[in-house]
Amino acid sequence: MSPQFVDFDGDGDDDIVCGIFDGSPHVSYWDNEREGYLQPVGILDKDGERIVLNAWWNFAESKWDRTDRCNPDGGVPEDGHLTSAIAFDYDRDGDYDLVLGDHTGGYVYLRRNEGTNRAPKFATRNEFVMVQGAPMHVPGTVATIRAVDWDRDGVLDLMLSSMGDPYGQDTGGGVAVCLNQSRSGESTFGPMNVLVAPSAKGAVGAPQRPDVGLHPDPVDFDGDGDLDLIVGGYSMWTPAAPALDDAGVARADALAAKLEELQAAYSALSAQAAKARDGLEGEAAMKAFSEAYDKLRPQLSALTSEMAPVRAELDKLRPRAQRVSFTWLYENLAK
Amino acid sequence: MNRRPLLTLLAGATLLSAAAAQDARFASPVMLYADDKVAGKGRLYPSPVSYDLVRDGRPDVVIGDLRGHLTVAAQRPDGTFAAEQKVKDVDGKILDFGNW
Repeated sequence: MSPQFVDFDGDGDDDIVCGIFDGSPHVSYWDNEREGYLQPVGILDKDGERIVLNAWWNFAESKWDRTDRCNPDGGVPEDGHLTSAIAFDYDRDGDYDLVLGDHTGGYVYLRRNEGTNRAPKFATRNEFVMVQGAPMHVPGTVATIRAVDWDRDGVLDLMLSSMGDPYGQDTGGGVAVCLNQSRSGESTFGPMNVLVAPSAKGAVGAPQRPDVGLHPDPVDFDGDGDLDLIVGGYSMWTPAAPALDDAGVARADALAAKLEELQAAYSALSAQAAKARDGLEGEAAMKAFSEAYDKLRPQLSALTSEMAPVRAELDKLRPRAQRVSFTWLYENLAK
Repeated sequence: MNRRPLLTLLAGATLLSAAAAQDARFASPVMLYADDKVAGKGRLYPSPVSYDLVRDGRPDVVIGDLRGHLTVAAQRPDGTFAAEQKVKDVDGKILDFGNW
């Protein structure tokens, strides 16, 4: 979730708007009298329905679900899953519309507000945000969206960031901005200008940058008159491996073999617990699995404890690839 | 699901990969610290935003994450940031967007 501080209800104080993984935008309103935030609520359309793309978490049935209810006229090129949303007066009519980011397909959608900030009436269907006649699309899929006047022309632009391949070695995430080319009325966006190139990954020794799941915020962090970026995301790197002599290689081989043996034993026990579900369904299957797992828990815990020091020693000799989240500062050098 | 021939339009819309190389205006990134720890370290998809949450005239760093929690690293007078604290609601409970 990327928090956006914005006076969403037009009462003079900033609320918190964001899209979350349940597939819908939410808002935490600021309580003016008590001076604090209220627990978040979903932002609903004018019919009282949830605002979604296609994937949504069905609270009533505690499962993931899908719908075409909100699709733009003519459908969508692929199913979408909203995980980011910002308040943005897209048509410059004085109220906040919503711009929605698609974590699955990479498209960017608009949900128009046909009411006001004080009495919003969000449309029941999504529209595509367009770029030069085509739906705006973020390769690597949308991580988040920010509203920013990047070129300082008095008009809000859209900053977009991408997820990238979250675990593998394919291209990672980046940051770009689409400049708003109209000064009034409907927003029209130009092509994406890359600010942070999608990561090629492959860092060795230490993390070098956010590589995947980039979540930027543009801000004049150092107060020098230009916009810097603070960016959250996962860094992926491989620590430098020490040079091993013959004894070191032999020790690493022995540790790797021991670890493999322990992992195989762990997998076998896990499979044994899973086998308890055979022939059963629903709650009965869950109960059987749970009981079997509980019986095996001491052995599983013992194996976990045995693996930990082996893994730790092996990591020093043959470091594994790392993936850790951090927050970074990109200082703008324009000024 | 009705899939109109939007795909024919998409070839011109995959912009990020085809765009120009990274804008050279940025310095190499450095990690942002909150007290003695890197801000957002270990969080699920940390998403920072600069905002004066503590209302002292200095912008703080507020970080959301996939779980739906927010932290704030308050900016000190010397420009450094204090350790992250969870953002709470008006009743003192953790503000929780993670209701799925």
